[in-house]
Amino acid sequence: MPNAIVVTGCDANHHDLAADLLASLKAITPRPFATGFINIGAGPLPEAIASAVDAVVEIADEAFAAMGGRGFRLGYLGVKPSLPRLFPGYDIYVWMDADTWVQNAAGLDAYLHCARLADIAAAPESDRSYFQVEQPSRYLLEVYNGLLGPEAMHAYGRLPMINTGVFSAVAASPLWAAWEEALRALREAPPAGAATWFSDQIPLHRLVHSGALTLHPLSAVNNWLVSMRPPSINTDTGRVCAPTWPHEEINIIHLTGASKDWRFPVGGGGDTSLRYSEVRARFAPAGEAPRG
Amino acid sequence: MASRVMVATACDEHHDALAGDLLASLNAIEGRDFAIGFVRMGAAPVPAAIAAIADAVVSVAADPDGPGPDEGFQVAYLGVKNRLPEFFPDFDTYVWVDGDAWVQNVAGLRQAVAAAQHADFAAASETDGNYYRCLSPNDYALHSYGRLYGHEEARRLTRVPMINSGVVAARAGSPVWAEWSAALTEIRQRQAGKAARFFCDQIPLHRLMAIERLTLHPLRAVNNWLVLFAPPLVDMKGRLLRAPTVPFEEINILHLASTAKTNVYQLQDGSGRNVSFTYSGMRRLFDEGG
Repeated sequence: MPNAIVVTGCDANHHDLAADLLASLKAITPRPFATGFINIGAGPLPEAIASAVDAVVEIADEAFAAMGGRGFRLGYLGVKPSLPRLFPGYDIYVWMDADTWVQNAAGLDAYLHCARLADIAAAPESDRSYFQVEQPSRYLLEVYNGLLGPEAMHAYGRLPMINTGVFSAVAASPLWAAWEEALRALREAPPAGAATWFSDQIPLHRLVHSGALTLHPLSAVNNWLVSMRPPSINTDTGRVCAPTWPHEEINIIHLTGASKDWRFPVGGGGDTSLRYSEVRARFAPAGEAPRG
Repeated sequence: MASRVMVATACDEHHDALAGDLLASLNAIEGRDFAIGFVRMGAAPVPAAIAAIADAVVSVAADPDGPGPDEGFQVAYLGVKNRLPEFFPDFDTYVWVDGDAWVQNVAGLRQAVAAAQHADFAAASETDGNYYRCLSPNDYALHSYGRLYGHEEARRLTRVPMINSGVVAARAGSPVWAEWSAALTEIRQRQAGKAARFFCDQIPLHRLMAIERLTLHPLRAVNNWLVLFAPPLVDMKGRLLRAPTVPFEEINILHLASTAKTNVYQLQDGSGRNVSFTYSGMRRLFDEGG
C-alpha cells in the first residue's frame, strides 16, 4: 500500500464542488490513501468537507483579491507545488482540482503508480475525442505570451498542453521546488503588473517541455476535460463514458470552465449536469453506493 | 465482422516489401472475415507474395505527369484511397490501410468498421497523450497546408487537430468518397502545368472535416500508431508491441510513416540490440527470442 494523500483545495466559491469530489473519493473502497483539503480565504469550512477529509490546511489569502488578481488564485498562491510542505510525511501526493470527481478507483491507481515513473504524472490535453477543439487555443497563446513572453510562447506554444487539474508526484520529486520557484518569481514580479493573468499550468508546461522535468503522460480518461468534449452517459449502467468508440468508462471527470453548469439532455427526457451529486442521484439505484 | 468488409492497400514497386508485410499480417489473423484488396500503382508485376494473399487486385496506370521528387504522394495524385468502392464494388464498409502499416491483431480493424457506421468516415487523430513531445500543428502540416491551400487557409485550419489518413474507414454509401475525390481532382487541375506542385490526400481530407463538409468519428491512437511520434514498447514475453505508457495497451495497428520505415530503435532491455518496427523485423526478433 502506498503512503499517499489525495489533496484538493478551493475558496468558498467552489465548496459545493469540492464536497462532491470528496464524496466521490469516500465512495472508493478500499481507499488506499488519505485525503487533504486546503481551505483558501476566509470562508468557514462546510461540515460536508470537514467530515470527509483526514487533514485540513487553512490559507488565509487577502493579497490576490487586494491586488485585483486575474486568473487562478491557486496559481498566484503557488498552492499545488506546496503539497509536501503543507501535508508532510507522505511518499506520494495526488492533486485533484475541486471541480473534478472520480467515478472509480482506476484513475487514482494510475496516478499512484505513475508518480514513481517520472517527475510528474499528468494527462496531456490530447485525445481523439477532443478533435474539434483548436490547439493551441487562443487562450493558451495569450496567457503564455502574457506570463512568459513571446519567445516562450513561440518556443513551446505548439507543444501539447498538460492539464494540472489532476497530477501526482513522489515527495522527493524535483517537481515541487522547480514549480514553486517558477510561481514565486511570477508572484514577486508579475510581468504585466495588476493585469497579469496567473496560472500554474503554463509555467509547469514550460518546465516539462524545456526538459527541466520529466512527465509520464496519462490517458484522457484519467482527467476528462468536459469543456473540450462532453462525455456520454450510458443510461443502462449510469456510467459516464467517452463519447467515441469504444466508449470506455471515464475514471476522473473534470468540469473545466463553464462546463460546471452545463446541462445535458438524457434519453427518456429531462436533463442533467455532470456534477457528481446529480449524476449519482439520477443514475445510482436508491441505497447503492457508486462502484469503487 | 457482421457486414461485408474490404481492407485495401496500394503501392508501387518501391514499397512491395512493406505492403507484403501488411498483407502477411492481415493474413495471419485467425478466422479472417474480411476481404483483402490490393491496388498496384504502375506497370510493375505484383509480387507473388502479395498476389497469393490478396482476394482482389486492380491496377492503376502510372501517369508520366505524376509527382516528381518533393512533389508529394503518387497515391494522392492518382486518387486511390478515395476510390475504393469503384475499385472493389459490393462491400458494405471499406478500410484503407497504408502500405507502411501492419496489424498486430483484428481489434483495430473491428473498431474502425464500427466507428465508420457513426460518421462519414473514421480515422485516428494525430493527438494522443503518448505524442506529447510532438508539435501540434507540426511543421509538415503547416507546410503542406500552405502548399495546397495557401498560408491564410493554413493559419485558419491547422489548429484543428490533424487526422491521419493512413487508416481510414467508411461505409460504401458515405459522402466521403465523392467529396474526397472532388478535392483531389481540384488540386490536380489547379496545379496542372505548374512548377513545384504538391499532392497529398491527408490535408484535403482534414480540410473537409475541419470545414464541416464531412463528419469524423475519431479512432484511438492504438488503431493507427504513429511510430515516429512515439516508439512502442517491445514486450518480448508477450511477443507484442505496446503503447509506451501506463497501462501499456496492446497496439492494434502500427504505422511506419515517414522515416520510421527505415529507422532503427534500440531495445530498452539493456541488450543494446537495435530493432526495426516492420512486421517482418518484429517477427524475426520474437522468433530469435531474448
